[in-house]
Amino acid sequence: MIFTDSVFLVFFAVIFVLYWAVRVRTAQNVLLLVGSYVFYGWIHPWFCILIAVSTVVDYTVGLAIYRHRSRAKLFLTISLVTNLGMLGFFKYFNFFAENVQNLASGVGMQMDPITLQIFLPVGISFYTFQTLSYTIDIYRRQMEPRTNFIDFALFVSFFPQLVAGPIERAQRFLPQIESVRRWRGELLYSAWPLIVMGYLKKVVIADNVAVFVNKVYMLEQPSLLLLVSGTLAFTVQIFADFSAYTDLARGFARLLGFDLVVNFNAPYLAISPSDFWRRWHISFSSWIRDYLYIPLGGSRVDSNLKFLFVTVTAMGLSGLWHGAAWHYVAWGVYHALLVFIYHRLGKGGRWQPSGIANRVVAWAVMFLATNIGWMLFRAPSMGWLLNAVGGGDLGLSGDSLTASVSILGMVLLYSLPLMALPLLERVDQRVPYLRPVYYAVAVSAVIVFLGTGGQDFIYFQF
Amino acid sequence: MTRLIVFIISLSIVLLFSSLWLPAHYGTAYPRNSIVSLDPTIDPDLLKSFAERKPETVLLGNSMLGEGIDEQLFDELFPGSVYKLGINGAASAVWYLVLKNVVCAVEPPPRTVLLFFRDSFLTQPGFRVDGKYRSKVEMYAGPGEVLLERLAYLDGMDWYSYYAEKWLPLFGERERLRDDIVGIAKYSVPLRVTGNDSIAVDGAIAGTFADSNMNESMLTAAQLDAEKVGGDIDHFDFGARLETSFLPAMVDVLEEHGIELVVLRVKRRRDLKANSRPAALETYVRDLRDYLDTRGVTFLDYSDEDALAADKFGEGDHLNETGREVFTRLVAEDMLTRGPGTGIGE
Repeated sequence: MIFTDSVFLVFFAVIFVLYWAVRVRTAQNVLLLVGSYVFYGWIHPWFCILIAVSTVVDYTVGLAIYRHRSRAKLFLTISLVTNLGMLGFFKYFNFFAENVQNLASGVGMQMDPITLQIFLPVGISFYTFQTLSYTIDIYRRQMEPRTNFIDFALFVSFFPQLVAGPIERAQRFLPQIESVRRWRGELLYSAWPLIVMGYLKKVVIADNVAVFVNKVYMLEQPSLLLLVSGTLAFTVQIFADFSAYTDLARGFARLLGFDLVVNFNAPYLAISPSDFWRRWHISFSSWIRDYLYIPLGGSRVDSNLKFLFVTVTAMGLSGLWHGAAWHYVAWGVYHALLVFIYHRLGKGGRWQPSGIANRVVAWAVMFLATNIGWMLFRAPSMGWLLNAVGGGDLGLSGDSLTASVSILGMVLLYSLPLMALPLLERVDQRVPYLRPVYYAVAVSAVIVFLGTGGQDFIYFQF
Repeated sequence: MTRLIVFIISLSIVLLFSSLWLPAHYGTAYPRNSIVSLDPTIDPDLLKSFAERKPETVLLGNSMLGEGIDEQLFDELFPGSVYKLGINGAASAVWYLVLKNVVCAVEPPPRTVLLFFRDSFLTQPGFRVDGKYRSKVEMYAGPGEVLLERLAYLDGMDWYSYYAEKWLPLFGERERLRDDIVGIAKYSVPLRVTGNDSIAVDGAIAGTFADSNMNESMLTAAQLDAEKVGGDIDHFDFGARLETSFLPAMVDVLEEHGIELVVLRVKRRRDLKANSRPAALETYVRDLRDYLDTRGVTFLDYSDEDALAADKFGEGDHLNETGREVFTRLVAEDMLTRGPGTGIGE
């Protein structure tokens, strides 16, 4: 079940009516929990077993860490091994098996292939990280464990953000689950713009731009200009697609009285790599920072080499989180190198260039770097990308030029609604009714573009 | 609160304005008389070509036929004149229209039609009739295509889509509106930069992204992905699908005109691997064979043909030049010796 399915809208309408009809917090949470398992198990009911295992283990471990401090490390290890073990098996088993086999054959050893037909459960990367934040925070004495199993199980499985985030922290989200929620108009007023934007980004922008992206990245050897136009299209697609999911998740959660964390803050306006990661997939990057980068010593490095090591490790693993392939790792390492280079140049952290001209240059350089990163991310393999870039065909004439220019024109058209957003925010105080008019046009565009795409959200695969 | 009200008023204005303007702009009635607004114009060049060549045997299918059969070679191997119509991306709705409006319209009618298909295409009436495929349907449709409208469009439509199509022009005219909006960016930018008009732009895009320029394995994976609908277990329930498909109508219309129908199942790249086909598909094909048998239609199944080995395939599911020659000879020979006991598909 996905947000753009009519089945989901019916499902949500039923949940919404029952949820506000029962009014008692415990009953509301039970209803949401049952609804979340129905939502998650809609296509493959066995998915529910995995999330139930994570839930039971971390609920038990949370209490055990708190009650038996002397063995806290052992219990935390159980949580880590269980969650990361499931994630590793379902997501990375074949990747590692293939690489071990390749490595062995590289040194002259012959091994039989041991890849398995494993079906990746959607959202496992997201809820694994979410539930791990609970046990780690208890281990760090930053929060107390919960005794109410229903509340905790809902924290792990809350359906609006279950399969593609945002990744909520236990300290922030559990108190919301535990508090009394009453219907008020404010919930609707804050939810509808998010829902409209979510559908606009997904149905109108992401699904249509995806067509060009898929074509360019399926070519045996695209010209450089085609690769550039396809990559720009992907830059638009991945932001529109992923932030659409977040908008919809936040919007539907708002209608149920919850406030999910902001996950994007105009990431393509970033002026440095550090700035980009404060704006892109914020819930994930902050998770990596708090539970991986800082524990590795990233906040108190005393040498460039250690800084490089910690950054590459954290961001390389971030890349691997996105998918079991080397080009995702390369994307993570590439961003780590960007962070390192900017840091060495004295432009790390919260660096701000002075003057408009410097800001524009900094933005342009970072936007270019971001696009190169997306090229690594989207390429079907590193070999394909090297072949495409090194092919020698610039594509500045003939069919390739015409096709590239046409794609760029269409990408520009589909980007217009996104580019209008910062401008709208600027004039929002002076012309407060421009934004609702924009949303009305957005709904009209959604109606016009209904039924053209129907693709899954990109981040489901992660 | 105020913003929500402004939003609702703005949206109402847009919907009202579009309901007045779009029917006038596109020349359609409000509410729409017909849910499916086709622009039926049977391709005059095709009709002319058929009338001139007066083929005795017509080969009909999609790119699997286009890339799979060498028309000239088949013409040499098989008696009588042959006309190959491998329409890229075509599925059963287009085949039905071609049979009814083109093949059966020519005088004298052909003796035999060979219809090439794969998977459950014969019983998926709503497959490939919208979006970029709509123009193909329009190319072969005549006025008042009641069966087409019902089977290809209305049967698969939700009740709310039905009413939205009828009463909300913004929804009902969305395909044309979308083409117009996207067309502005698609054609105007290249016109300014390269000086190419819309025909040249379409040609350049088609040439750049031709199957021959695509990575073979990625193209195959994309094809499989795009045709997930064909893998849906429900589509393999032949008994349930038959009456809502074009298959009986195709058999009927050819029977009425005294044209023999031969149905041929082609081999896909997937068929090279053992046990790669869904079990439900095998049951489907068995039921299809039984049905065709009762209707007196010959069924030839090449999905397990050993002569079409891996080296005979080119891009995706399509055969390469060698494969094309092998398949052409196979079909021609089988057609010459067809009948019970040929061994094909048994």
